[in-house]
Amino acid sequence: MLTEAHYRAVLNFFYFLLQDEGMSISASFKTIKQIQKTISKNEYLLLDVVVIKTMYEVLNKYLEKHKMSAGAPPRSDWKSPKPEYLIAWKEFMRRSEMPSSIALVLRYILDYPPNVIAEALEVPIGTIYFRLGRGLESFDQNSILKAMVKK
Amino acid sequence: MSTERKLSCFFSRELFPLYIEEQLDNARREQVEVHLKECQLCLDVFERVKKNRKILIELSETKCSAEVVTFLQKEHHFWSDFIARYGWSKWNSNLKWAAELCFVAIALAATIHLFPWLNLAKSLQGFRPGIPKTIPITPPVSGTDVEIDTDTAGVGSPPVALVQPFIGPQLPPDGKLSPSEKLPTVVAVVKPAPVAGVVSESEMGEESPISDMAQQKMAGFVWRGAVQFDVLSPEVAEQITKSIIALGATKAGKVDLGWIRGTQFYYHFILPDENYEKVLSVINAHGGIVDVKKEKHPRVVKKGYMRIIMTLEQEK
Repeated sequence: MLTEAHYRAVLNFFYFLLQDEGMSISASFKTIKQIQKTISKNEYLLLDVVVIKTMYEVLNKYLEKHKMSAGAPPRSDWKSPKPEYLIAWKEFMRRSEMPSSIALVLRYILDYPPNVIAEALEVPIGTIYFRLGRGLESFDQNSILKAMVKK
Repeated sequence: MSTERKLSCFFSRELFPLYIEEQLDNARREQVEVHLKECQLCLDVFERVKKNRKILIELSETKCSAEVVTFLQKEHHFWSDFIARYGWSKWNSNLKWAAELCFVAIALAATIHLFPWLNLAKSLQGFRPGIPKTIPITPPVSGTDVEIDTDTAGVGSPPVALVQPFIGPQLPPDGKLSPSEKLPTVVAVVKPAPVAGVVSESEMGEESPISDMAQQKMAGFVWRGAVQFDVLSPEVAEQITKSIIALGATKAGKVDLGWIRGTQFYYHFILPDENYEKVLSVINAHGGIVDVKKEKHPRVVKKGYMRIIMTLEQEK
């Protein structure tokens, strides 16, 4: 059964990767429906795997259909204790590769275990760590974040 | 001297996430630590990676509003969502006015076209109190289309009106109608004055094509036909006319007996029943062959009399 934490995870996943609130809510809506459908058909699936898999599928569909918005400022529906980090994330999203971004969001923002992520994305766990390493290295390659990190 | 191979910068950097999360075994962990001590560049990268990881973990504190979460948690159905989004309350006032106007117009049009007004009017007409079924027409109004069967009057029968009396609502005593009462329009038909030398069918006494209502009201009969002669002269026709009159025939139409229509002689008369055979014998005596048929006729003659319309004509 989906909990509030799952809903929040789905919303944040799309929020960080689609960079658009409207699209994020719409994608989350579709994802939740799809997850519920999948679970109702097979109760023995690992819920986290189903959630990540479905989010990944919906994300790919959205990325095919829609262009990413160019760093629109965060709106009121999402609140962050450090808004400047959100801006840095948007900067990162503009120049990073999507697989690394997905891995970072799933591992550090949504706090899924690497083995679950690997199972859901159907890649070896080493690949996940590799993507995480690449992502973490390139995350501060912009002036805003560099300044923040130096502090 | 250590027998372990030293890690390259590239490989050690790949192990940073695992090192930070303490997923490496002791041997690998030591290798990474040794490399970090020896390589300042990788140490800088390691520090950045650690800080970036911390930033990302802090980003996980980013939360969506409760309304959005509630929206997602709620069960959604197409129609309820549709109504919530585009329902009546979401329309602006102009659109509402236009919709109401359209609704009223459609309802009005449907009522006008589909409601059986005619049946209702007929049924209401039947229930009107104080409306006479027939209106006696005595005396006839000159110049109007009211005809009196003068021929039957001449043999003792009462005059019969040819026109149907108008049966409809009567005006109230003050002569004013309420707005709901709408009387059908009645148009009085006035016959034009006959042109000299030209005689119409109705003036000859022959009926023009009879309406459906007249067909239903046909109560009488007429013997209609033609009498063929090998040789027909005006003298013969005159003799026949005199004989018929002598046998008690009276003119029924508007033209005299023996009226000349082209090459024919026209007769429309009322005759006592007992003299019919005598009239036939008179005609036969002049060489005529009578071919008459009994037909229905709106006008009724008195019992013991018969109506005859015949033409004398030369055989072609």
